[in-house]
Amino acid sequence: MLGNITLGQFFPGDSLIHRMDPRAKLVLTIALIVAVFVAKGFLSYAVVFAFILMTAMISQISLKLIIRAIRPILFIVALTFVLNMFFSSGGNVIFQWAFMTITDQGLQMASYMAIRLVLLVMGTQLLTLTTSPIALTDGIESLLRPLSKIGFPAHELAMMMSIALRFIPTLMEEADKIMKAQMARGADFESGNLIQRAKSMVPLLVPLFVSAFRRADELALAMEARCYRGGEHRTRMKVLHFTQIDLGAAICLALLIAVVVLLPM
Amino acid sequence: MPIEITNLSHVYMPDSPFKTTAIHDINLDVMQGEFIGLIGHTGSGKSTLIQHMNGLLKPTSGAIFVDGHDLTDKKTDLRSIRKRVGLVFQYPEYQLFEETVALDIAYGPKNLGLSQDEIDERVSTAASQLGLDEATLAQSPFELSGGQKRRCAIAGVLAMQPDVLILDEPIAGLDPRGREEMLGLLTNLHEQRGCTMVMVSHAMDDVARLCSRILVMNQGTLAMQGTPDEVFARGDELIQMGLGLPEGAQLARALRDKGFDIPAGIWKTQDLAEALIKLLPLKGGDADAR
Repeated sequence: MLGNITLGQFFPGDSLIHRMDPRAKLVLTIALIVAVFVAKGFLSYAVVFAFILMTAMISQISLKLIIRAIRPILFIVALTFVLNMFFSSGGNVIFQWAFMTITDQGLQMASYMAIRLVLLVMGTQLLTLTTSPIALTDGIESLLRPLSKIGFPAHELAMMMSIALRFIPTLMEEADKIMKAQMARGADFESGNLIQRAKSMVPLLVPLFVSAFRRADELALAMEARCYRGGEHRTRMKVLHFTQIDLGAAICLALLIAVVVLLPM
Repeated sequence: MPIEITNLSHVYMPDSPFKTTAIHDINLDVMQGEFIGLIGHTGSGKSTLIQHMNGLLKPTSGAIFVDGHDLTDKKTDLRSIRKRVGLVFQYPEYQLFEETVALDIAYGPKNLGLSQDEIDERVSTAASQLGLDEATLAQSPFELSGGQKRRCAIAGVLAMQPDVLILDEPIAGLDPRGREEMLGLLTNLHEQRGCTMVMVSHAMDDVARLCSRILVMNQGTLAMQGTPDEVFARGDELIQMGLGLPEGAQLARALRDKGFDIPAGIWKTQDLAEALIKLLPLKGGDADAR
């Protein structure tokens, strides 16, 4: 039931992409997002798409997984498409009925937006699929560290993130268990109108919150028992290193952006 | 026959790197009025197996019939199956959510669409079967002690009045007194209500004492099944699977290793005592002389 969510899940492996420095991956993912937004015209989108496919192939993650990750956002993609189609003006009118007008430019804009969204999710999906949550937060902390000089709580933020990420699967498992337990008592989470369904969530959410608070309490106690005092003077077991893979990847992305910028509309 | 399972297999997350075969080719019949003990190492597939018995999990292959209804058939009303087969999860106290104990117990019957009178009647019956008094019924379930919370949760399942009651480690995490009380309650349910019981447990002594049949799971398969006598006679295999033995069987093994002539198949403390007395060089060799 809840086991089919791939968005944001880590798939372990030992590919070139997996071995990249998380910091490099973070920065390059941002660069990829930039590339998606700089790209104008179907040809450059195709180039970005090909780049993402290639990266996916190198990372040995099955395409099926990446495509499955798009499914939950299909609704948003469709909504963006429809909104853009009706509310962008200019260009030649190709369809008109009552207050609705569809123009060729509107249609083009709408498809660009939809494609961008899909590419965006696919690109960022590659980051989370190939980077363990711990490595990811290590990377974020390391990237944000310069900001701690001006009082930005980089370590605390990273710690909060890694705890949150760490507990997502735990809470999912818990939710699944409570759901099953209530189903064993005849609960029905799937039928009825919106209000009935929202109401049927109470027997799931109350125990889930209770257990989340209990876990938070226990974790805080366990951390204090091991003398956790925040980020000062903490050393790491795994020190991050940039390697030639990262350099290569950076060059690839620079090339991608160059191509996308230079391609005609 | 309440539950019939043939060639049941279940694979978690099939098309992913996390694919695991939890149970494989299980064949099992649960008879009316039985008290079955289900034992097995952590991760041997016990929980997966019992979740099939009321349709919470769908088999990857194989079939399950509850009172003749095919659970793999889409047309089968799973809610009516769940009314017949009650499942109490491990640490059921974590599923409590209502404002009062009475309301929480009433959740199941309410889902069955019963009348308010019937619901009230069932709540008070279930509460009294588990020894929860009127004052407790009015309390918030979150104020209760650990053992009481668990009884409240079990009462919540019992209020559905199932014919078969499946419990996943009902005594885990309770103190010795809580365990004794819980086992006493379960025995009562079995004997007085005539409930067919399936109990998952790691406590060999309790399983040995209560159950008429024991199922042993190992690495997703049903490795052994039989009466306590039959199963505990194969102590070596149980130990190889990382399982324990009842105290009597442990002592018998230890004595046998020291060279005492203890007959095979002894696991009851009483039987062991008698065997030992026979070995004692008493005057006249008469066991009654003690």
